[in-house]
Formats: sequence, structure tokens, C-alpha cells
Amino acid sequence: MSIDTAAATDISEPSSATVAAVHSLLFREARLLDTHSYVEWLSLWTPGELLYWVPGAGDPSLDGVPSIVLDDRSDLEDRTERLAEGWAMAHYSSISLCRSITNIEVETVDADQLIVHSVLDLTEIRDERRYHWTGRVRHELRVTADGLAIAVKRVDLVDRHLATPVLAFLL
Amino acid sequence: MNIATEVEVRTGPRASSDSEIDVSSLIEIDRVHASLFLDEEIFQLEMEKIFKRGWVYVGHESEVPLPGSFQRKRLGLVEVLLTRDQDGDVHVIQNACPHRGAVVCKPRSGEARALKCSYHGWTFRNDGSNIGIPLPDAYTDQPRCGSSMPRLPRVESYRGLVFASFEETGISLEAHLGDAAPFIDRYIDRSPSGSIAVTGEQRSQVHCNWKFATDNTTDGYHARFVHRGVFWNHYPTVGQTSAESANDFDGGSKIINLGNGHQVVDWGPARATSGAGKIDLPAELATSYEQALHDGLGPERAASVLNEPVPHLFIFPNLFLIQNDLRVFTPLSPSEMSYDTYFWAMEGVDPEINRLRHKQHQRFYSPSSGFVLSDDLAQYEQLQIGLTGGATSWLDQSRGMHREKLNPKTGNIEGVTTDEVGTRGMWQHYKEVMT
Repeated sequence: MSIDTAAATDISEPSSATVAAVHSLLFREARLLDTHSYVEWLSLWTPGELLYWVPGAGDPSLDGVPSIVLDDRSDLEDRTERLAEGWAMAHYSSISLCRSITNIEVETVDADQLIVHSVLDLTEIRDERRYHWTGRVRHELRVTADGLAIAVKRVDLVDRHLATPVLAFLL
Repeated sequence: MNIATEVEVRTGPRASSDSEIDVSSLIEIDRVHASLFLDEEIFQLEMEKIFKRGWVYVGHESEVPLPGSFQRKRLGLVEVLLTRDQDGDVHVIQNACPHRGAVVCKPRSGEARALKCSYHGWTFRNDGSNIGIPLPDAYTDQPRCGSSMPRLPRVESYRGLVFASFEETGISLEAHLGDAAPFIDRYIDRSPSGSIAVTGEQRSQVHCNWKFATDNTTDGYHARFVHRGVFWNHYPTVGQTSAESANDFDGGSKIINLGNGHQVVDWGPARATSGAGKIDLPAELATSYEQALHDGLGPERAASVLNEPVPHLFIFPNLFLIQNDLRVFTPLSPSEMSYDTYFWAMEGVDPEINRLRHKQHQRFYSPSSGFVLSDDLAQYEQLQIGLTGGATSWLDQSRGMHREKLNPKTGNIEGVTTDEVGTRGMWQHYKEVMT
């Protein structure tokens, strides 16, 4: 018990202001993605390298194992442009989205970094068909002078071991 | 639309004497009937005549690398296991207990010395043979339905690609592959060791009939429209190559009807890609790759691999070899399929080459989200919606019939990459098998 207590004191609890800022960021992100506002959504990220990752069925730590999405900045900029410009065959105008973000937990790594765990619950309507997407989300956030910025976002879908429908939007 | 027409669109014309569908009346050389994509009875007939009696692709030997390795697969609607036994031999067995039919192996893949049914503890080697029945004195002889997991009677492989059939007798795999075999060689010889290793799968759920995927494998007509974002937005030179090749029959790309339902896009010299498959290798890596090919395959074969474009090759009924992944079409119902992709690594090359190949695969050919393939799958769903709504009774496949040519050397029909030579070939074979 004494060891656990000692370890716990090393992790500084995030302040209520930090938690509120995280909630605000995640909810704004959800709204921007639901409304296909990709340019504004990209502005929530750090300006440098980033990772947007939706692992697939296999062990994602192994080489050559495909993910559902595995985007660096260049890939993600192309993907958002493709979606915003309507290049994707499943066109954004035919996709309606509504998502809720719940079970938010904030961990402080250090003064500049936060890790946020949450649960995504999303309904997509496309071609008069209903798709349900549920997964656990992990955000790595940077604390900057301008506020919080997303550096890494990983979404582990609960059904990632099954065949996945076409994903012509962003989780 | 009146009711009579609607019924015909959905079910197709039937022979008057009985209720069995006359498939041959639904397939003409230049058009096929919409019911082939909609009808449940036709679908069940396909599962029997194509996916049980014929050769069907199961998986790659590298997916079961060790003694005891297994992978769950589907052949048509039937759950099977691809396994490697303790002697190193590869088997395909039905993943069902002979006693009461329960699924025996539940994980999708792994290694196991033996397989055990969770219901009454019957135990099997991974070639399907029984090694134990608890309380066996209840049987005076063998159980009425046998004691072993049913093993598929015919399993053969070519270049590591494993095919199987539920039928005891039939043509050899070599005869089935026929003129497609040299294109398989060309596809796999890009790996300097002469063999490839599947490293991961990704499956996509598509609300369409599986034959929309087969029809699209050599359709060069759709690319500049469905993939307009990739061609014109990011990669204008790729779009130009496609447009030029459309009318470049003698000197460049062509579609070949290889027979037995197989078809290939044999790209012209403009698409030669130095073997690695549509990726530009940095000079140092390109040199090391050329050396590896030279060492592995000999100078003559290495030179031809480096100068030949990578074919887009469809092996009837369910395997598509393209770029850097094997694709498998798994029918689930008349209006649903799983589109499964298997990325593979080359053996005997700098790991950075496989990393770059994988990066390109992930970006463009991930089935659910890749900038190329996800658009194909979304388009197939639009086809299914159109036909379900009675958009048309017949699907046209007459493009370029007047300009296709018989190659006197091979006896195969060849045509322009934006014509429907391959589609017509697939359907003529389908008609033979189904009637």
C-alpha cells in the first residue's frame, strides 16, 4: 500500500481548469468533425508532426500489419482535402454524423503534455443505412501558449477485428 | 413500373416447367441480367457450383508459417481452417465438429498442437483427424457421421497460393490456372527469394454483390471518374498515363481474357515500375533491390522483372493480384460481401523497401479508407442500390466488341484497357460453370 501511495503522489492531478479545457477541446473537435469542418479541425492540431491512427485487426506493433487509417501530417492533410473537396466517392453531403464523447479521463504527463482517454459513440447515416461506430480514444495533447493542441489521436474501434465499412469521414 | 416487370427485375425469368432459374438465359455475350446480382436462388447456386465444385483461393502458405499454425477462412459460406500439420503439410478442413456441427476453432489465427471442441471435448489434429472422443464406449463402431473434421479432398498450391475444392475429382490446379500462371510468376518474382510473406490482413464490409468486385478488376474505364481525386488532384501524371493507354493497343497496355474466367490488365512499357510496384525507390535502395533480384533470380529473369509492369490479375472466382496486396472476394449474401486485402512483404530485400511499399498500400489501398480502393467499394454499393431499385433489367458489357482481337499465338482475346474484354470473358466462364 505504501508503495502505491508513493507512486500516486508522483502523478499530479490535473487542475479543474485543465480538465475543463480538455472537455471543451474534445467537444469542439466532435462538432467540427460531425459538420465536416476539416480546415478548422486541422487547426486544433500541433503545427508539426502528428499521428492520426485507427488500428485494424492485427497487432499494430508489428511491421507490415495494415491499419484502418495511419496518417502522418502529409496523409492527413490530403485526406481532409479529399473529404472537404468532395473527391471521395462516398460524398460528405450524403453522410450525416452525430457523435458523443464520454468517459473522459485526463492524465498529466508533465507540464507540457496531457494524455486523455475517452469513449466515442457515433452514428453515421449514409445511403439510407445506419452505421454505428464505437471505440476507445486516446489523445496526446500539448500544452502551448495558445492553449491545448492535439499531437496524437488513436481510435481503437470495438469491432476492429471485423470487416469495416467504408470510412469516408473522420472518427 | 408495373408489378410483372418488377418481379422480373428482381428474380429473372424462370423456365416455365419448374421453378429452377435458367441461368444461361440471363447471360449474353454483350449483356447480363440484373437478377444475377440480386437473386437468392442464384446466389445459392453460385455457392454450390462455383465455390464448392471449382478451385477457390483459400490463403497463402506464409499465413501458416509453423507446424500447428492455423487461420480461419471462408470458402463461399463455409467456415474452413487453413492449417499446417506437424510434418509441414498444408491442409484445408471444415471448421466444424463432426458430432453436432459446432465451430471448433474460435480464434482467427494462431498455433495449436491440437484442436478441441468446446461442447463435448472431441479432439483433433490440425489436419482434422480425430485423436480423442470422451466416453467412447457409447459407440459400438464409428459415430454415425464420422469422427474427424471434414478435410477438403483437393488442396493444391501454386507459388505459395493455396487453392481448394470440395469436389473429389476435377481438373488440376495447373489446368485451372492455365494462361494465368505466367502472370502469377511475374507478380511474385518481384520478390528476390521467389516467394512472398503475407504480413497482415484488412477486411472491409461492402453492401454489394461479390461480382461487382470481379467485374471491376480489369475495368480501366472507371478509373478516371471514380479515382478522379487521386488522378487529377494529387497525381496528374498517373491520370495521363491511363488516358493515353486507353487508345494505345498495339504498343502498350491491354486486357487479356485468359480463359477459365481469369483476366489480366497487362500494362504497357509506360507502366514499367522497376519491379517494386508503383513506388519510387531512392537510388541507393533501387540499386540494392536490383542486386537482390540479380542474386536471387539470375541476371536474365531479374532484367525481365525490372522491365515488366506489375499486372492486375484476376483469378476466378475470388483472387485479385494487384500492386502490393492480394485481394480476396468473400461473398456473404446476394447483396453483401467482404473485400479482404492481404499486404505481403518481399523476402531478401532491405526492410526499408517493404516499409515504403506498406506505406503506399496503407495510403491508397486500405479497403475502408485508402484514397483509391475505398472509392471503388463505395461505387460498388451504388451499383447495388441502383439494381435493387429496379434501375435496369440488363447490364451492358458491349464496350469494344468490334475492336477486340484474337492473339494467334496464345488463342486469347485481347482488347483496349477501357473496353469490357475481361468482363465478357468472366461471364462466359461463369455461364459454363453455372449451367
